[in-house]
Amino acid sequence: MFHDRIEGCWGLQWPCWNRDHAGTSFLHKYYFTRGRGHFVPATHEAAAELPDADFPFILNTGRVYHQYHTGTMTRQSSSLNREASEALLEVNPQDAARLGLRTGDWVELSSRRGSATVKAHITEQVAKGSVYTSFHFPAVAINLLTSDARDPKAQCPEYKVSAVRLEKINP
Amino acid sequence: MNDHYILKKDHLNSLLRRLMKEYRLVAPTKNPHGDTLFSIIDSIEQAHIDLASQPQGSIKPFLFPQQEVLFDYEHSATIDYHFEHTPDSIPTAFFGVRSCDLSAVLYMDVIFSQKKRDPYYFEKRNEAIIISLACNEPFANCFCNATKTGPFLEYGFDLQLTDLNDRFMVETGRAKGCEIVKRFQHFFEPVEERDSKAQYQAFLEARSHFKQQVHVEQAIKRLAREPIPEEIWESLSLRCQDCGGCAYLCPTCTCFTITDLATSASSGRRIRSWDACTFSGFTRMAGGHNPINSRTHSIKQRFLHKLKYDVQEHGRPSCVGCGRCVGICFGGVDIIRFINKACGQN
Repeated sequence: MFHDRIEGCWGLQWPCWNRDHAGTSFLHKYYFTRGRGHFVPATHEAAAELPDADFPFILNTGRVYHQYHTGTMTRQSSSLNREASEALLEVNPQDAARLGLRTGDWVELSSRRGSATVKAHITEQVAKGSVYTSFHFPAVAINLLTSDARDPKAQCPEYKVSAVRLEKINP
Repeated sequence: MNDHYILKKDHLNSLLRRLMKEYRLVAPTKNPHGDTLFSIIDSIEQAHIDLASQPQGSIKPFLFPQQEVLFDYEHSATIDYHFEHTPDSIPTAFFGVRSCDLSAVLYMDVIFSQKKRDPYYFEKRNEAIIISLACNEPFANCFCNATKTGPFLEYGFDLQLTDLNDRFMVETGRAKGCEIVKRFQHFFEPVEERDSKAQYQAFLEARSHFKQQVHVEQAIKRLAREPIPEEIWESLSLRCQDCGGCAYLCPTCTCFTITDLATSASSGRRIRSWDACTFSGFTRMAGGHNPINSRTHSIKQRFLHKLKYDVQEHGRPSCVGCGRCVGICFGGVDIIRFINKACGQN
């Protein structure tokens, strides 16, 4: 790949086999490099905690674009804080309608381990039955709610699946 | 009528040293990482003044800082709101400013004096002296010939220099430039006929050295005549990563936002910071609704402002053709690509 090939266009997909090669959009389009595909069986193992009648929602935690981890640096920037100033709990419109929730309403979010008060944001970004929020903001200490289960092999914490309950509150 | 003089390159450092006695000197310097940036020069000997590369940023941050304290405030049981503004007006000589960046300063002069003069901008601008350098050799992404903001200027500078190998042709523009020549006469020599010829030659050659052919006029005409197809806005907006790099580097982007930062329970400061219309928070309302769909229209305001609204308002586009957004945008949604698409190319 050479610079003159990537100027004036929106890029070139590696690998390029020679100077004029058009690039490779799909690496394994017609056949696998090794010959036939190699299938590895994986058995499904359910998450340690799944929603039930008491805690009917799946909570998923993660990041937002404009903040980084605990925000010790990014929360110092007024520009980034304007873009994302607080934790928002993303709720699917169907769930929101059932619970009588609107964007901006305060929600008491509880799991078997703890609870937090967070502002609702109604969006199609999350599926029905799931809610999502970020872990950047100390005002919403979401890690008090998450499960301490870990992947048996990788020891990766199961922060993406915790059973929670939502209650609209008037602070 | 501008006066012309000759400044031998051997005398340049002496002149700059002399200016440094009265002014803070800001010039393009190459830092140890190999980047050329406008920086404050403490010592001519130690700084590596680099006039051969395009500075990565313009002089905008020196006149309109990325973050600026408007005032400090205090409030207590005994003090009923006390505001204090510490002026920042160090006399500064900007050396080696390219024609596009100088044109951008002339644009900022207009923007910051609409209705009411912006005191924060003008306390710095009024103390500035700008020594520009005409571009004999445009850089890779430059297209100031198409925006009519270079490569040589006829007005706006205090002094304009043209590189003639071992010497600079010096043109006086505004009063402060004339005063420098008058006060430091011994650095300047009269112009000979061969110098005038060499400058004219450099001017003609520079215009033929542009690597980019950008149809700014054609795009402006089309924008004034008809709406740009939605799929063009969409295809470009989808690739915008919301980083604000284009607006931060753009010498004419002057949008800002104002924030209050508490420093204690009873005091704080009000700051203004650069903003960008490509940020989703720029148009998001208090309730969370955003009238601009950031996936399909995030870059619309940026290009329309540069090439349509400013033409309507001020009679000329506010793109100065410096090409910095072309170099910085990793999504490839710079103004050249937009102009090409608006003109029906690729």
